[in-house]
Amino acid sequence: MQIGKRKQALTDEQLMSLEKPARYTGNEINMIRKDYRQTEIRFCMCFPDVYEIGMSHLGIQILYDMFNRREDTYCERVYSPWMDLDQLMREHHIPLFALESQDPVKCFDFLGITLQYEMCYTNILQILDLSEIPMLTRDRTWDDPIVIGGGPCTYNPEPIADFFDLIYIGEGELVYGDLLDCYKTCRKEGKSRQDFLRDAAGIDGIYVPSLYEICYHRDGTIKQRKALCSSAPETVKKQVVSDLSNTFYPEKPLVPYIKAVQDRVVLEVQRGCARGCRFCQAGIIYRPVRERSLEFLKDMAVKMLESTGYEEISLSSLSSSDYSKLPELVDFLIQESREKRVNISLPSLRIDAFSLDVMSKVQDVRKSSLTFAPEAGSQRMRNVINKGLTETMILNGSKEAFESGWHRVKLYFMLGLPTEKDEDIEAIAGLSNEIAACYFEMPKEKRNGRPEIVTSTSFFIPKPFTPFQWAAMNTAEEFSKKRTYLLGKIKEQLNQRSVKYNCHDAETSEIEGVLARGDRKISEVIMEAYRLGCRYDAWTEYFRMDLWEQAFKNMNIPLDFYTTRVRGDDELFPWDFIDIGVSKKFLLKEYHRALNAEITPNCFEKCSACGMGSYELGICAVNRG
Amino acid sequence: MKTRIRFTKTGSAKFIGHLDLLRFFQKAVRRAKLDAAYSKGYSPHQLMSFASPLGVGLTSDGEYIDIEFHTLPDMTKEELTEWINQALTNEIFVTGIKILPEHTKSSMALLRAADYMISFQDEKTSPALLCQKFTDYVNRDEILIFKKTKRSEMTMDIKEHILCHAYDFADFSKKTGSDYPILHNEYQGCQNIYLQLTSGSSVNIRPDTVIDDFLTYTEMDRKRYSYHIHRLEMYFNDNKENKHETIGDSEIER
Repeated sequence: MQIGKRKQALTDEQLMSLEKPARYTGNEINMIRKDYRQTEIRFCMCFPDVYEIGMSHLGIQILYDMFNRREDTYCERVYSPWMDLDQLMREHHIPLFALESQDPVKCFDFLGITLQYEMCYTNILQILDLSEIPMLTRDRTWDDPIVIGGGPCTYNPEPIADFFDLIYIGEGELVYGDLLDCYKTCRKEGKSRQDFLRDAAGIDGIYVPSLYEICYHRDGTIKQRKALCSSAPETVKKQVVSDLSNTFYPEKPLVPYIKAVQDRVVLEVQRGCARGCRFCQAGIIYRPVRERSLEFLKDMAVKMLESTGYEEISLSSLSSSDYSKLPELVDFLIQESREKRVNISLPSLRIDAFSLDVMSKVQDVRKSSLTFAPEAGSQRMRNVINKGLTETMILNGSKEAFESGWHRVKLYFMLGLPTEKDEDIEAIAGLSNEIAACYFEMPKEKRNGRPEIVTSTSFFIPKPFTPFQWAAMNTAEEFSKKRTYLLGKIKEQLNQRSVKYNCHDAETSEIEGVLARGDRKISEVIMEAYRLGCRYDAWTEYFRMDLWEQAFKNMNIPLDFYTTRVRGDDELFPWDFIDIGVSKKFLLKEYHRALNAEITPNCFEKCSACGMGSYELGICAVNRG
Repeated sequence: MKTRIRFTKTGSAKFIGHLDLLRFFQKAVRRAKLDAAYSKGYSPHQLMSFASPLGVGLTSDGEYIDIEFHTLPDMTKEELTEWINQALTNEIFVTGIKILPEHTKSSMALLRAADYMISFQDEKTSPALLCQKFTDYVNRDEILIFKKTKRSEMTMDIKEHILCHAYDFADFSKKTGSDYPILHNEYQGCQNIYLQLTSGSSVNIRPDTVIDDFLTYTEMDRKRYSYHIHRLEMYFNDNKENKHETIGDSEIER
């Protein structure tokens, strides 16, 4: 008897039984409405985590806008159902549905899943399972959508290769047009699903895992990758946007009703990073640095604030301080913010005189905190990771910050870096102490109570396409020992009462380490872990190490093969078939320099011939010209 | 410049909570580029308040929000309504705007009653029987309900607070003297009970309290979602003439 204006996949009663029903009802501001019967392709875009996380992601907003600009395509969204809905759907056999039309995901042409972090891998299986789509590519037919993956984790797609029909290597703005056209042609010509996959393999940046076979040595390392058909290329080349001021950007981003993690307009000022920190995957895979023009950013800022009504705008990039027009952009935003009562948030700024001046203009120094990411405590260790930050720079930055009125400082460090010794860990405690000491060196009348130094450590996880891809990772026990050791050292410091210590979970890091550098054999473990009940592994309250250990045991796969093993210089890695522009030779050279604590200049100072130059884009083109 | 704005909350918007709705309106005012008034202090916020929060799961044709502006665009009320609605949705939209005298109290303080339509989806009970049962329920000398608040538990006679009841919309309209604009309720073809209940900051009778008590009294099937509540209208004490009026002066259908 319900005559609803919009279709709802769930009944009122079901929705009312959920913690946050508005996660599943859609109809947000700037949601695209289309009649799917008037389009040829239905694309369902998925972020495999809860709505409030997924809605905060800029990449999905860019692609949502891009797909929906095509008249022949209707792009909708789906996020992971939270545990309450997960249970309800299983009990009542409700298939997973998209937010816009509320139609089952299974009836779409494409299901695109973005892979932003390894710990969401079991959520991929949850999405497929609840959508009633076979989990393995080999079991799918034309009754199922084409399942395609994208995002940073696809730079090692092998642990999840069996779950995907296609994987897109590169920046999403580029190849989807060709792929959708190819799909339309294949469907019109009545080709088989297999033939479509073969055709798609011929498109730049598209990787079709099922068209390759992997042979292993007896020790478990890879011997050879064999392409099973002629259209499957030996290497898949990363796709890079050449002009970021002349591409898709959502002028009207979606505005959720419930508070998302990122409750503001996000302005991506540039892509890539010139710094070359050796632990950082993003710093390598998003090379080269490419800026968006000031005019483009001003125009987008105004349009997005107007179309959303947000009261805050945030700059986004890997290192916003490196954006060449930052002073002009910030001046413009401050001007706009006064007129329109908009708050400005400036994450990822290096702490120096300029950034302190800007930040004191846009935020309340009494309430906000400053963040430093020295990443390592000793200078030797910082040289190993090529973090171009000296103790003097950190202490001077802290002094200036304290003098400008801040008294809260957050410090980020890593434990378990290659070549780490006890004295390097102890140096973290020492540096935290010295920063607190800077505060007490100020005359009393300038102080504002006690300083709050929050020292956080995460555990170092070697990632593919970094100089440390050869390195060993610590075990969970080693991590826990180091954490205890550091906590003890912090307690010995003079200013220990001003220093608070936070630490990541060691067991989660161990699994992340396996998933990051895993090969195809790992997909069985992920499936087994899911079968045993693992999902939402990125959420501490749902992470179950006992089930993961059980899964490795059941599949008879040793965990330490992927974590604590030092790889030989000439080992063939599961991800080596991907050409990201940066050469393996460069990465290996960097690895050896790291072991000798030698630093390498960043891209602004000097080109180190990483290989990216062949793209002749962004900073590479500037450096050459 | 104080305004009192009447709006709908229907469809999937019924799952949006009170605080999220407030944030929604703050953004909507900015999207409509209206010159909103802000509070003083270090973190200024827009001056707006709802007459009465609507529970999650309930729909309404008669919600009210007070919003203060520095200036308003030079438009007729109809044009302004249309203008604001461009920044709203097909589920939450404005159906009336009233500009208030400078020293008006907030709608929350002035609220005295609200009208509700309760749609029953229980097909086991015939419409005639349902009406008969409710008549029996409501015609008792006293209607005692057990009220549990944070501080105390008490029994309260709500008879005088059920200001009006009817089983037919035209009849209800006659009894309340209200001329309701087009409704945007989603439940149709159900047997409805219409109620006018005392509302406001001192005494506030919730419709679900009354209906749950009625269902308990009649020992009818008390399934949690066997009825749906749609708020129709709210009434405010007028400062000058002690007379209520509705301000739904423009009818907009989407």
